[in-house]
Amino acid sequence: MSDSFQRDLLRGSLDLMVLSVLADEPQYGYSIQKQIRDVSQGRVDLKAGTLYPLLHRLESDKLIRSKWDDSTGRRRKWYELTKAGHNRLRSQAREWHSYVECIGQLLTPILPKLPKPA
Amino acid sequence: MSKNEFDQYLALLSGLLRLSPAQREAIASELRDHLEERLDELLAQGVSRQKAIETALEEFGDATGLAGEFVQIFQRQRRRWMMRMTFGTAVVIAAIALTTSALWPEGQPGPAPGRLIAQNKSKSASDHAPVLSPSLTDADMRTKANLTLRIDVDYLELPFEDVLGDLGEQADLQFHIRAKYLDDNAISTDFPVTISLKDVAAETALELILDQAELKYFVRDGVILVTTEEDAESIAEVRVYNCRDLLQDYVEPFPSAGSVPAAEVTEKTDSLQEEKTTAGKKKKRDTTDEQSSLMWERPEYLAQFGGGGGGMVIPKGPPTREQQLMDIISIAVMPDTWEDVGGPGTIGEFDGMIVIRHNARAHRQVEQVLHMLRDASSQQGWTIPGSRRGFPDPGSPGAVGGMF
Repeated sequence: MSDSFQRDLLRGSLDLMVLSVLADEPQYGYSIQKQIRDVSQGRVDLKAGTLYPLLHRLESDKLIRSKWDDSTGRRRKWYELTKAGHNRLRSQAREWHSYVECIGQLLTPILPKLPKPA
Repeated sequence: MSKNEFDQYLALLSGLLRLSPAQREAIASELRDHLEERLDELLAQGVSRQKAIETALEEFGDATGLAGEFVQIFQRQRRRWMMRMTFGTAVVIAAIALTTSALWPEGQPGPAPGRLIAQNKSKSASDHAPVLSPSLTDADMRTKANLTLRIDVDYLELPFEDVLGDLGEQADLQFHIRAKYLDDNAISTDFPVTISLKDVAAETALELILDQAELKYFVRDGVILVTTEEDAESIAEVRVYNCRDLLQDYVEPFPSAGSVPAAEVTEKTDSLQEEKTTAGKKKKRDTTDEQSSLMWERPEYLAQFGGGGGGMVIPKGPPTREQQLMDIISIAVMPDTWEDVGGPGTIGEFDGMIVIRHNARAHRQVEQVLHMLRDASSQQGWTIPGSRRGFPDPGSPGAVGGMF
């Protein structure tokens, strides 16, 4: 496991991460945080203090919606994507994909000269 | 122990949230759920209870900063509502004021604006005799009904396609973007939309959003087609509006034709075309010259209906109620697009039915004008000013058209 990503690097992509975690099924705050941590092998540790305002902002932008549910035995606020959220996820995912490709191409000549990350 | 410390943190946070008690409670419950689950996880990892509590709380950061972030989100939302209130209310008031002032009989007091607005808001289109439009399918009617649903829209630079996705979800509407026409005009299908309106008809929201890129829409088989103004306006359709209720004093001029159902009237529109044109032009003449080269006074016109019966009323000088209604429509709805001023739209009248050939936008506005007339007349117990009264100057017709 390498170090955490720099905050600057993450800033523009946290929304996209949360939206993509919600792509398939409803989740609650804690499970969203855990999933992002697991997938990134701990390198993206979205702090609770960042996550909840972010969720509320996405909800206020109508990209996700929430409902309280206690069918898991615990009363929880569950979030799911709205149609607009699905659309946003699709368009942002495309955008990120081409961004990554672009960066990749720029870095191709440089990367072999760098020492391998530990 | 844990509960106590979590309670203290959440109480502190709640105290800093300048929000309603319900909002505060919802946030506190959500965060408490997180804190407790995090605590369980850390305890399961063998972390000491005290350390686990500290870690869980630390991850939320200090209460002041967190409260500030929540408050900011709600404030942003509130600001959007305020914008919506001022803009949305102004549109409704201006539209109603202009319409009523154009139609109100002299000497009668107008309604208090508050009452009119309240009525306009609480009544749905279905409260009134339906506008008879045989060319509309069931799917069209469903879409039209859904367009009157009141929704909230609150987008900050959201791509247009996403906006349509949300509108579709909120009001159960299907959209299709005629991308080719947008492409031709170098309009992107995902231009950023910023708008914030609360409790607004889906139709109004849609029109205001489309305005941002000078786009228009029309409905085909229940699907809302979004396209450029040029494309939308080039597609004309004939519709028949049953306005007998608005023409209450109406005396049937041609009893033999009185029972023709609306659907048949539509089929006859081609033969009516000439009459409509004449009727449309007539209103200009009326104001300058009260002469009677009127089409329905001509024998050849009367002959096609099997001759004039005893119920026939020959208009002398002042415009008839039908003419006034047609005048109102052509002045209130896109005034520079009617045939008498060189535009493509035609309007005619037959047996209490107004027959209009125009594009979808014009038809929507016609429906709105008729709706407002019905609203106003049912509330005040008056109909369109009687035939003795001259047609009042509508003020600024351009502004009326722009309101819808």
